[in-house]
Amino acid sequence: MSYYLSSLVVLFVIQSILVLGLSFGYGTVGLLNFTYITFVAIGAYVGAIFTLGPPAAHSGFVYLYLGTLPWPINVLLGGVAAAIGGALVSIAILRGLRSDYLAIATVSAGFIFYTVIGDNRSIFNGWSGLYGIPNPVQGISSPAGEQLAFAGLCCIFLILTLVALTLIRRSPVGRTLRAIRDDGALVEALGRNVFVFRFWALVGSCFIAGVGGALLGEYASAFSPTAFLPPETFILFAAVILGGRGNNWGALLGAAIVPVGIAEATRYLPQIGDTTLIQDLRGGLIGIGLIVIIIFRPQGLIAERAGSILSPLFGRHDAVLRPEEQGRSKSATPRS
Amino acid sequence: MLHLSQAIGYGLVTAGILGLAAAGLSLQVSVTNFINFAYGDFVALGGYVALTAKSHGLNMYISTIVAMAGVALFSWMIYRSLYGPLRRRGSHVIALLIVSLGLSLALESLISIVWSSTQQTYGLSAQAPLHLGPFLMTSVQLEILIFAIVALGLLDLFLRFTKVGKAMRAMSCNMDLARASGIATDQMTEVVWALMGALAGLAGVMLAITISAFTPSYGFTFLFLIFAVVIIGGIGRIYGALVGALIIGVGLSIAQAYIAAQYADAIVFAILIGTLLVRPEGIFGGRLVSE
Repeated sequence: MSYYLSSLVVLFVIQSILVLGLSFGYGTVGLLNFTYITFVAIGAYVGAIFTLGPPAAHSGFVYLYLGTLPWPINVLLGGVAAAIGGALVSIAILRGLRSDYLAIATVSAGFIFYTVIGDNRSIFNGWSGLYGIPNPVQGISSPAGEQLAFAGLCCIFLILTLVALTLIRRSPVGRTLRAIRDDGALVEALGRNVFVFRFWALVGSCFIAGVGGALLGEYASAFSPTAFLPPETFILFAAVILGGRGNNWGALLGAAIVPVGIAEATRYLPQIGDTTLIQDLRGGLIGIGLIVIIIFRPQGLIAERAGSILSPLFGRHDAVLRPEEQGRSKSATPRS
Repeated sequence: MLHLSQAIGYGLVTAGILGLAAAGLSLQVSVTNFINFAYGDFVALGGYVALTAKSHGLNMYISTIVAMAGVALFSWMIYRSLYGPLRRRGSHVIALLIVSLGLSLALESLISIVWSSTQQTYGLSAQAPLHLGPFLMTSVQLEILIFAIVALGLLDLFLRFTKVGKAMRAMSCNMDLARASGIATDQMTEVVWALMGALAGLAGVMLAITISAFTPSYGFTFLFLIFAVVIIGGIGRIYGALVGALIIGVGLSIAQAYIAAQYADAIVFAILIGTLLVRPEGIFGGRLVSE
């Protein structure tokens, strides 16, 4: 049980990093990156191939071997690879598309990546994926202690992510990004290059996805194409929206409730019916939760506040931004 | 390896199904102006309703009609109870899109709970393929193709010559003008959703027959091909969607036969992204998808 609890802590820390990255891209800048999980996958794969060692050591394993690097360089490299992927996708599709069509284009890009990775065994071992991915604290103590030590290492990344995102959000750049989310045309009219801001926001979001993905791969010790199908992105979106878009505490709360809470709570339901029933209930619960949140509390459980993330603690209560209000003013004429 | 004429024959069947599904989605998007990510699961629901009807002893044709009616009713209820109130409240298109994501997750789970996630089949007897001119297809495939053409023809007549159909086209052209000319746009939108459901249900049954064994996610997988068709044809261009369906349907089966079967879908998605970049209004100039 203590092993189980400590592995839950690791999962929460890693999912928090992932949700924070998505919350930055969607919540702060309003990018509907519906293939976020693809960048998580890039991070997981690249992080893994730099710690697995030569393929010969694992029989029946084929993957691109480029060398072995010490932890955490491989994790950061996973982030860099995902960021490069994000940059390529942004250059291709970020300019000009209305956000909902951007969503379709990103899912399509994700499908292409999924097919190419699955069908080419020589890159990341095809559909069977990579397994036996080591983590840096392997064998240092009992399994539970090992999980806690790994949680500690992941926490360093979580804190760095939180600090970096807070600094960005409080800077003039952060204000510009939020302004782009609320009215891109206005910001463009004020002389800012919206594309450049959105480009770097997507690259940053993908970098966080890659780092989180590399840690996720090491935590799970295996990664294969089934781990990055589109519904995985939707679950992370549910976490961002439930917690409250564009705010870091909301992202942490969302990570605790959706990918960790719902996934783990349903584990204890009695096994009835066929084996996939629990999984279906989980999907149904997340789907209905998403609808209920948009209907009754579109700003999420923790509403975004203009200003510091510490303002709820230190009483600097600025105006609460209400997404539903913005929606109302924007869609006074629902059709363009 | 298929021969070219054979590949085109299969492609035409796929194009017929895609055309029906895309016409429904295109109609809905042009009238309500948001993308319904749950549409693929509406398609799947059609396949499963027909499965239940068939297991109660109805024949395949009656089962298909039951599926169309069932999905139309479901779709109408969803609009009335969920999207209608949200739109009246003035929710942003992104909020509606996210609701449709939630609906998609919930619906796929529901289908899986009710009908189980294992592979299902209608148990239609396998038939020897028939030679029809240069094409080679089974009689079931031929029937699907004929029914698809008939249904699309009826849809065309409906949109062109009936009062309701004309109202729908007016709304997809300019909602404000349509409302100003006295069209009951709220009720009409509900009718559009019911019609969309019927088309989804029909396409769902046909697709389920064509792929012979299906699981609850078959609709969601198909959804992105439908998106590709709608975008290539031009958003809101129902006739454009038919040409898009021909391009994607026949292109897909030729790609499967001659390039590499496993990359066929990837090629379609590359075409989709390419269209969005180069000609975002579609081949026939539908609604712009840029900001």
